[in-house]
Amino acid sequence: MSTNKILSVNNLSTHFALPDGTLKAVDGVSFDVNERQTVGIIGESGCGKSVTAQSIMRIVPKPGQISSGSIEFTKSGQNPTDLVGLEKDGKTIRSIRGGEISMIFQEPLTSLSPVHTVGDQITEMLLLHSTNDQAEAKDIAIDMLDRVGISNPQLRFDELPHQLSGGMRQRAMIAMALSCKPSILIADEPTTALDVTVQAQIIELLQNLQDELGMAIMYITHDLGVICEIADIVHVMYLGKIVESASTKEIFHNPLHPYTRRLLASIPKLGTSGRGTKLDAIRGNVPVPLNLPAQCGFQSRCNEIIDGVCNLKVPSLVDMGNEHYVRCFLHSEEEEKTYA
Amino acid sequence: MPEDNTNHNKDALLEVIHLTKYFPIEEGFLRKEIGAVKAVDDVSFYINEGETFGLVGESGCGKTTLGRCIVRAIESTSGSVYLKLDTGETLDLSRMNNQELREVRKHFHMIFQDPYGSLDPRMTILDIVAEPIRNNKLATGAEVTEMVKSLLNDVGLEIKHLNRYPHAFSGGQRQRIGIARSLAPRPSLIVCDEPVSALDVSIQAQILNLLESLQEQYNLTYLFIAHDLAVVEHVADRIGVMYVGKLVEMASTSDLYSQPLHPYTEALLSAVPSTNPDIKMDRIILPGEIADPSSPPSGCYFHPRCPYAQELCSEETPQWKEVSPEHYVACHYAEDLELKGVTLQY
Repeated sequence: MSTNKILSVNNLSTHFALPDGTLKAVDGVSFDVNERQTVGIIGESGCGKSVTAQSIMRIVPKPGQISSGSIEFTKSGQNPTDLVGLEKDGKTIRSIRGGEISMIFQEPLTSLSPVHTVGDQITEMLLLHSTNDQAEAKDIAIDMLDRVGISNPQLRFDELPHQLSGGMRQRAMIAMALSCKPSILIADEPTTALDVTVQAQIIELLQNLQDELGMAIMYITHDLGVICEIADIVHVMYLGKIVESASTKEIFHNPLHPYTRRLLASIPKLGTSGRGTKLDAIRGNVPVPLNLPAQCGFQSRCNEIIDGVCNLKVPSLVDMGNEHYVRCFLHSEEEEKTYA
Repeated sequence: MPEDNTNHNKDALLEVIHLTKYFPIEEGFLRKEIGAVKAVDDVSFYINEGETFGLVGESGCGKTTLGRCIVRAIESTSGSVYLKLDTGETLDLSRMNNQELREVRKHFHMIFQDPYGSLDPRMTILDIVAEPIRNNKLATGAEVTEMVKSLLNDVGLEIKHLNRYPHAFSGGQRQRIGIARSLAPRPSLIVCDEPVSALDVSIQAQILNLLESLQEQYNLTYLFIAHDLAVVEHVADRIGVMYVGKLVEMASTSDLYSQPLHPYTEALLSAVPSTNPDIKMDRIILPGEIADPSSPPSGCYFHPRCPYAQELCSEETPQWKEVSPEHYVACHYAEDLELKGVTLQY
């Protein structure tokens, strides 16, 4: 496996200016995506995982704005481009979005138009990014539909999205996202709305296509089981910050941050938590990241809080060795400088 | 209790016998009936007092329709639903008229997946929880407020929130409000339809723990409908697996998970992603999707997706049979197949 870095997110902050204050949806996030790698981003609703993806695609909804940081995209053999510096609807970002970096969503109907046939939508992408030949585009589209496991692709080509079942629509969206052979696929909870059996089909499909097309995947989800299955490296997000990063094996065998540990302890696992066992639930709710005081974001729900430290300072993301990073005062006294 | 009932059980609080719900498919100006969607197709099971019965299956298998037929949110086509009251009397809910139903509705309740849609946005929490108390004339005046306070306390909500509206609460808190409301008339049966699937991971555990402690405190019997097999394993004593409107397997949780007898159950179990990175499960990827209940396949409904299907499977509908004590299955080859379950560590 080559380790060429194709995406490098540095100190990214995306803020929403609201009447009540600044909502720091993404607050100083840094991570890399290497070629052919699967990077998992895990977190609950409101942790900033989707806004991170939207920032990379430059589709952050108003009044959200990237307030600082850089997102460097490197096409093989070329110099890196900073996506943050590009004009939001300019020519360069439009050629990257959908062509080099594409995205799939939880609800396929958000990316498929209900009034155009599946085939037209895929060929439109191809004509925009890879070819000028209508007939060739159609051939590629049908081949793509076939590859994602849609039976009878010639027939499906002329169907509208509502004529397909949920799992088939998800496959059609994947076909569309992958038709231009992107180097990065951003998958935002693509299997959350699906049944376990169909989820298993889609995960297997994504893994096979990744091998075949050699792309990197950034997989965003709240499902620990899915992440464990698919990711090489995992970033755990909480309140707009990465609180822990490590290889998948490390995260699941040796979680360091109290949030990661408690999250793993709180979910029922097949075969281990039968009737009568109590789940170790995390108390309280995720706070809204509005006008946050300078403290550890998890301190209000943490059982291991150090009084006078966790509620007064912001911990820094520190390397504990073995490429295992954690943001917690239990493991390092280092403070985040921007807040000091 | 009926005489033709084969799994008659004295302890059963709820007994469902040959329950069927067909939705007619109509066509044209005269709305001529041209077929039927067999959403629930001859389902029988019982739930003992104080027990949790899990109902699992893919979306579209009819599990929610079954739950709604039981609480009479919709009318079943045929079959019976017997509920035993604490007086020892047994009622057939499916045969009651609306007036009779109003009298007995306090004995059972349903909670829903969507905590946002199930609460009236224009009512305060006090009014939402007090409504069933007032309707059933369980208390008057200041007593109502006292009862609401004690219920909110039991579900882990703060009393100071009494006069707030649902929008001011998070998903988990709204689910707690829904639970408090359903507990108000002291029901014996609660049908939980996917109560945690819309919640965040860290909140799911809170609600599951709450449901368990309330079960003890209020002596509740649960019908727990869910698609997440790990969640159902955690809460249920016994489980029924549904496929295209029919029960295909039913057993105690440990039997069903460790020794599944139906290939569909085996596939469902193998599809659950594991959180142990060292285990690479031999996943059975089922081809295709759940069959259309308006035109189900011939023979066994599962045969087009079944990795073990033989000729017989497409020709004959398998019988519902008890293979080992209290372990029921509808599969021609249940005794011959050696299916793989989950290794239980408890």
